[in-house]
Amino acid sequence: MVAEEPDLRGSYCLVTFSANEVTISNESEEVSGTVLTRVSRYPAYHYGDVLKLNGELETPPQFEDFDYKGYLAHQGIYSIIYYPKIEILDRGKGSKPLQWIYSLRESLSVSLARALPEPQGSLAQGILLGVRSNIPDSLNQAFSRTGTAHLLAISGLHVGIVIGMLLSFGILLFGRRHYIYIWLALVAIWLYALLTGMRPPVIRAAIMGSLFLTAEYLGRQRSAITALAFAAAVMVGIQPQILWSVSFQLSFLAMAGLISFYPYFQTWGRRGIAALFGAREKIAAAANMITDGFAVTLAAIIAVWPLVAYNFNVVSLVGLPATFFSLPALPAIIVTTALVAFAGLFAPIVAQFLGWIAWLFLSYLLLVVQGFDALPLSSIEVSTVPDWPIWAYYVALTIIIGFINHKEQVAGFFSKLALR
Amino acid sequence: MAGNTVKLWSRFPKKWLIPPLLIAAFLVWSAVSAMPDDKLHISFLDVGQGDAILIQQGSQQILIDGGPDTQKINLELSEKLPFWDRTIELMISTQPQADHITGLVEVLNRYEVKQVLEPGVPYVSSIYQEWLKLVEDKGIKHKLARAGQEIDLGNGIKIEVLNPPTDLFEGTSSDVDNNGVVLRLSTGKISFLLTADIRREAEFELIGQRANLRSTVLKVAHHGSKTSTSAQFLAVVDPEIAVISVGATNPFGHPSPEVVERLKERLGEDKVYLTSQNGTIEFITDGESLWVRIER
Repeated sequence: MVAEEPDLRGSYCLVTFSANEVTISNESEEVSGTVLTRVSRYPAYHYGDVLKLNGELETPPQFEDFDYKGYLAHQGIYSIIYYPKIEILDRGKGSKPLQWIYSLRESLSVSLARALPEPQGSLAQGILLGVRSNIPDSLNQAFSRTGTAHLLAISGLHVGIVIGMLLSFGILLFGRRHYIYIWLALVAIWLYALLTGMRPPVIRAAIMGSLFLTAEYLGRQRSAITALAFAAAVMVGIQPQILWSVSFQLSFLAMAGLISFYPYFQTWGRRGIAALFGAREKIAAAANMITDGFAVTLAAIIAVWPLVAYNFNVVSLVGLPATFFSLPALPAIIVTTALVAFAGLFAPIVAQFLGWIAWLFLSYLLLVVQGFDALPLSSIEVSTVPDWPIWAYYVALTIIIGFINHKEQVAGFFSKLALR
Repeated sequence: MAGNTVKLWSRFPKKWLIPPLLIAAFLVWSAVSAMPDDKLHISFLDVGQGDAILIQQGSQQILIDGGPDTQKINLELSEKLPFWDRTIELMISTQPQADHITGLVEVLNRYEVKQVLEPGVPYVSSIYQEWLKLVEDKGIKHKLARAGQEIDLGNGIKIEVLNPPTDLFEGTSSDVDNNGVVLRLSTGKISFLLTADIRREAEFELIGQRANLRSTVLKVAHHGSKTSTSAQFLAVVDPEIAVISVGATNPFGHPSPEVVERLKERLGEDKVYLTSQNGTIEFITDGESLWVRIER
């Protein structure tokens, strides 16, 4: 049976197939396990299709610059079949809710594709639905060279915006009584996580978001670092292999960076602004917004750049300004593309009109990313990075965090030493 | 009642009007700058190893083939079409092989296509089946192309269908190739001959019928393969410019050096354009003059 919605690529598609019976030279045997198959793009297969594959099981190859075998093994896949002969035995045998979610995801992504030109359309599919297969390679590279790839990966930022929208909508509809809006948001978070394909960053954000919402419901205090650690524990507990997933690592480091550094950068930035424009309130307020924006980005970049260099062999030098200019467009993009996608289900004409507004914001994002990418020296390509500098960097970073968080204790310790 | 509205209006913070007005201004500005002109545009789109040709006249579009890739054709179309235009008036599939039709499947999914034209030769492939199924599901008008048909674009622009003949080719070196849709687009003094993937057999048949082949621009048949573009055919068409739609690296060795040499000898070094070298090649004409715009 097809175990997940197939991953569509340019001219082929990857289908994750869970087998329950294998026949070798006319002898059948019941088995269990997953196998990846590469098939041509058409006819299309869907989650829940029961297929009979006729082909040769192969061990995934190991490329010089990419450990494909290891990459698949982390997903619990140990064999691959290239272009098998396929016979469809049955359709729609998956779990009903999943089937519904997947078909909703597909309809939404189709309505985006119909309403928007390219590459805005595929960009919208990536940002809103986590469907990244249609994004042209050149654009993907532009995003990673300018250090803005995190805008494409659905993460806490996206979940936050979606939840914010739903919460304000829920409060508007039901008021704050009975905490209905909290239940609504909880359901919405997890539906959105399912809709976007349950990738590690989304699950992380969904767990943290749920914890915050529960805290609000119980009237307890929220602690970001506790929520982060809890999310990590739950995810690793359920699927230990996830520790090796790059998106898991990036997501947690970025969040940890935000939690540990952002407050300090923000205070420093604001202090600087106060010293500069102290008396002029309006200018100071605007300048504060700008420094806050830079503080967020800087906090995340400090935490992730070595890992990005290690995995993608690129260090972006324009990540800070590129993110600063593209980030404001993101909420607008998420809101407008969500409207386009849903309108497309019922009234394609309306979706087209809304699409023009979404097109404007998406084009702005493209302009910023491609503009920064075109600058000379926007990024440095690094060759293979050994492990130890990465480890050393993170150990040092942890010590610094520990030091600034416990300044008084440390100072106290040293003064005690001195007193003796 | 009216008083209430006035009161509400006066309470409405005026600065909230700024973002919507800004958005509207930007949209109008983008729309005006993307407005099509009144000239005829013929673009040989860079879609890799395959064919894809877009004809634009005002807001009318005719797409001839879609190339071998589902993504490139959409990127190219988005670049050429204004952002609000989601309709393609006519889609022509010159033949059902993957390097012509794969992109068209995605275009059917994304654009509103009013009519399709194709040779309707027997051919079994999953991609062609998918294309046929989509055309049927969407209720798009489906016509078979045969020599003698004419498409009128207005403003004195017309397209004649020269191939396939009413009795399709049978038993040639490749019936699918030879039954490809050959079109001659003409406006005033300028004309284009679009020859799909036809081979020598179809070329000689066209010469024998004394079809109106003489054209300013020739789309070289079959990606410059040596199966086509015979010296005789070239002499009859007598083009000033030739375009080869071909991918930079392809397993077929297209275009054949022999054909490229033949073309360059006849037309001159700088009159032969290749999509693999020049990227998308756009011709613009008012019926009198012809301009060429290349990507690289």
